[in-house]
Amino acid sequence: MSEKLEINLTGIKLKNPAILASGFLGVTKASLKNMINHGAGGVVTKSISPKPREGHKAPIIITYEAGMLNAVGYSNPGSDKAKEEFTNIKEVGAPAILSIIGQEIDDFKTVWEKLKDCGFDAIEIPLSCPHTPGYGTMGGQHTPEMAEKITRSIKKVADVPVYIKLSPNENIVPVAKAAEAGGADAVVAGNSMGPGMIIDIKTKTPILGFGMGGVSGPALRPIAVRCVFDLYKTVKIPIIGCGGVGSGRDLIEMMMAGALAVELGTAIYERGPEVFKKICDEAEAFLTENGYSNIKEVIGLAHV
Amino acid sequence: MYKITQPTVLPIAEIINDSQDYKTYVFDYQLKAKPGQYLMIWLPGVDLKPFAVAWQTDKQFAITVLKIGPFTTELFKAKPGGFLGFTGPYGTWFDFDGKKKILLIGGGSGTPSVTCLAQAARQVSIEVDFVLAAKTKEGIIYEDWLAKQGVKVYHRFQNDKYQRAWDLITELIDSNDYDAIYACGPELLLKRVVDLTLQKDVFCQISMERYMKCGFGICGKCCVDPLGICLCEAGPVVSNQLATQITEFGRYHRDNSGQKVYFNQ
Repeated sequence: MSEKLEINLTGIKLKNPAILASGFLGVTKASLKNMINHGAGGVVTKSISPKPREGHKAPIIITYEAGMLNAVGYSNPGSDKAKEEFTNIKEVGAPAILSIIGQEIDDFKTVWEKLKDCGFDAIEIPLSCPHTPGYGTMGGQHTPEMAEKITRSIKKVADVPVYIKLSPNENIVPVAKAAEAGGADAVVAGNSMGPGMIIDIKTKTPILGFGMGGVSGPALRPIAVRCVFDLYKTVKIPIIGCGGVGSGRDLIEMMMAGALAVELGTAIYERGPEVFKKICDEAEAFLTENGYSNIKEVIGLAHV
Repeated sequence: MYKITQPTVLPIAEIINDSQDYKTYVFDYQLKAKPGQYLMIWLPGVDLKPFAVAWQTDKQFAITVLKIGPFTTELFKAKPGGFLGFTGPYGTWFDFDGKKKILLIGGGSGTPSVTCLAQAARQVSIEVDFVLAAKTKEGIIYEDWLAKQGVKVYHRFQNDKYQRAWDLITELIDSNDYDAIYACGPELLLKRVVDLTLQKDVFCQISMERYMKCGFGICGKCCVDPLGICLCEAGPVVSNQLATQITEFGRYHRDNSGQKVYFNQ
């Protein structure tokens, strides 16, 4: 991988813009390191809550003709054990972003204050999970009012950049603007969409343990691209594109819509952890073939 | 076309009561799993859990279940004709190519993983010795079935001189010339098998259990330290060499929330 793919995201240097999205692997320091060894430019941890959570009953992940449905339900060891797990997180060898979830506004601060000495480079706050009661869209967090309040609250205590992860479902622009007003350093567009449902017709039973789950993968990609495109015109802070990116072509597309970096996870299902290196190689080949000297040149090019 | 992972739903063809705590569920379906591979079994509307393929024929396959928690308690209520789903087969498998005389060790609910290997090995006329390790005589399963496959079966309840299955295992290893040893069972038993086979320089594979929730390397619950690999794909069958690179092996595993749980030494 050459310097052509290097970017600077809110003051953090990434050797490439392909970041592991939250929720995929990422429960342990070793698994984050494994993704970086496979070429990820950065990693986001699984979301950490103040107390341990077991998550939903399985199946938690199924796939269909156009992508993936997941309802993991925020399983995580809680902030005390997460602190032990992620101590000296810089050892993973690339920027690491801590994903924090909470039900109350103060929960986000509580988790950060526990983990702030681990060495994370940034914080990501998802206000947009579509399948966990009390959190994200099911917790009424994806509104302009809540976005601004939660962002302000975490910004008061955070000494690293704060990214707010949005829902592609609705209101992405007003919620992003509220996050920006609250002091967010970047927005992530976005989470999985829906939720959707798949029913086994022999047993007349929804397959996912939670019944429904967020939709990701190829089905989500054009929607995520459009979200990034809309946000590029309306917010000044950087946008991290997320949704269905599975190739170098998709990464370039997301950046042309206006993303400074991308997150991906579902693509690991089809292409394995090697997907990070493959995407970077493909993106670099595109740059070379089309006369770009650096990936930064393609950002926002789809805007006239 | 996107690769679809959704359970294949089948009626239960037959239920065999192996003992008070074990039942075997048989399905009319040609699975073509490799010995040591596992399925994610779906009890509709309840949960999905991993089970090794216990045996298979051209027309059928079976899983054997130990009643141990809420899921298996529900599963025990299922009746023939009732629907269960599965995804898989997943994971790595036992390699027995070219072996002549092998020792298999099955401990408790780990037994019906190595049974599938016993069946496959006997089909190509490999000489198979099998130690069934269990805490009680009632926990001995598959004894008659293995004998029918032409397997020589050993367990400590056959002879008063053995206090522990391990005494029997070491005696067999010392007095035979096995060219491979395979085991599945409690992790501390597996640790002893790995240590002994490394010391004696014998080919060895074990089937190792971690919390597997998706089966295809995405959810990350079965990632092992310090490699960070998912054991649902890189395992469950691992060589004794790989087992020693997994430094948590024999020390701890992680539960459903990702918290470490230490094995009682």
